Amino acid sequence: MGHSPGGHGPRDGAALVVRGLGKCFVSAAGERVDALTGVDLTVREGEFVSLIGPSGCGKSTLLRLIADLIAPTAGSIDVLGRLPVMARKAREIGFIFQDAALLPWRDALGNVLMPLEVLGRRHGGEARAQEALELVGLGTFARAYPHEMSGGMRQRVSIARALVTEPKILLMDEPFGALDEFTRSHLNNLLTEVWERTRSTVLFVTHSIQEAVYLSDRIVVMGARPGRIIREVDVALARPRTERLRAERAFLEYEGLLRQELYQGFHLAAPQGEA
Amino acid sequence: MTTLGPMLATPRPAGASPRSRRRPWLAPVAIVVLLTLWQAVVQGFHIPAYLLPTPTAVFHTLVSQWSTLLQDLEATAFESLVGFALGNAVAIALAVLFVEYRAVEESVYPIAVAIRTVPIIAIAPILTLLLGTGFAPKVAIAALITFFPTLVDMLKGLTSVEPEVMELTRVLDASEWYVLWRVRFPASTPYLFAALKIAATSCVLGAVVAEWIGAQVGLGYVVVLATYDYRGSLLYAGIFLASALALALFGLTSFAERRIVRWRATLPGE
Repeated sequence: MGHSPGGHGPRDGAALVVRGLGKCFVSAAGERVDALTGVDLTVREGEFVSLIGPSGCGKSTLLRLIADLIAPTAGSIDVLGRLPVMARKAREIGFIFQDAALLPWRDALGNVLMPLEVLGRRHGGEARAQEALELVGLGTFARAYPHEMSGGMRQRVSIARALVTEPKILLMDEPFGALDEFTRSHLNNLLTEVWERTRSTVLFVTHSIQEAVYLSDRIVVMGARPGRIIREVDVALARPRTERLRAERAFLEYEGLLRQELYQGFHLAAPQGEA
Repeated sequence: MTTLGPMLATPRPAGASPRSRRRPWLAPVAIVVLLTLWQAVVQGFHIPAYLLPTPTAVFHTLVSQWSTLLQDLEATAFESLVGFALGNAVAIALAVLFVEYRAVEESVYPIAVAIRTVPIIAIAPILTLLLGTGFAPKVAIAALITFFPTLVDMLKGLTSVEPEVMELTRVLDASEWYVLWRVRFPASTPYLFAALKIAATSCVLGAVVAEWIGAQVGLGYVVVLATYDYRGSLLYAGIFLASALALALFGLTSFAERRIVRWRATLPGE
């Protein structure tokens, strides 16, 4: 298995190459639903890319295809020069869900230890798990159980759990979608800090324009029915980014631009939109 | 009604949780009042002992016949416990098989449901014919009565894992074995204990019913014998011991639950 069949020549520093990707489901009523059609996307190593778009545009589907949680019906995906299934089995992918998805019978440390346990690296893992918890600012909450934590804390534990195995690609599916505004911007800051240290490749799904601008190097705007990419926007804002940036003119201009792109796509897709 | 109750209740002020407002002395007081009332009614209305003995007469019988009653209690306890262990073990094993192999669920589950619909009272004589009058038919019936609720709850528990957690185990490429032992099993424990608490009392019921059919020893045997002989106080002593046994098993199971399920255990519908 020297050359994986998923490879498409030299990657030129690309962590992720998606070509002509499509996914269609058959609904319960027997109708064909195109969740994604003709998606082309390249993500460089160490790049932070956000996917933004209305519900039903296939953002989560795209993430699940890359993580090999579901199989595509058309096109190809190349994760670090391999097929998604190979990348997954090589444990190069980390996935963070909207719901923290913690094991309720384990404390924070136990939850962060879980991936190391699966990988058979439990020995000496406690120190690494503790380190990961400290990275997300929960060093003193190692013994707290999920039901004793707030939603924001639970999500931080799930981020620590994803980071502890040092995956090369981090897929985040609306990780802060269920949190209040303050907790969300706090965790945005935390995520940029952590990311600037680890520099892993991140694909981040969100509904929030502000969040996307604040975090990303590039934003991919998607449309619904059928799910597809409408436009890509490079975010040329300097790093490290701090809270102050949110009020700056350049930041607000990006927000305005994206809002325009999104609502155009939205109205085209859903004339009787509920917005 | 029961599900609406808590929702309709007015919000409690902080610091006044139901636990802190509990009055543990109320239950014993109620029991003493009830027993006193019972004693007074039987004596006041001159009710014959074979219809309703006084609590003191039942107590006298318990003390005076303790050595034989203890043998009966031991026999019923043994049958109940072995039946409990057997019925639950088979149910848990089957639930695991159902989760791991869909074909087993599709083929065996209807049979399990069919077994459930057969009245225990109706199978007891058949099992006694098949297995004799020893411990075997009693254990079998105690096992049978505990089997189905545990199978259903265990199956629910093993499949109660959040879909995202299952996706996570796939992303991590966790083994089937890991998912079963480290994810599905711990997730099932609140459900399992809900079933075990039911089984703790129903296994005694199963053993006692089986003893009616044919036995030389056991609390069910005592109950039948005392009824035919119009020995009211012995009948009530037998009933009391059977209840005490079921209560003790229930208490032990609840104790084990509190030790094992320390995390938040909210079952749907609770």
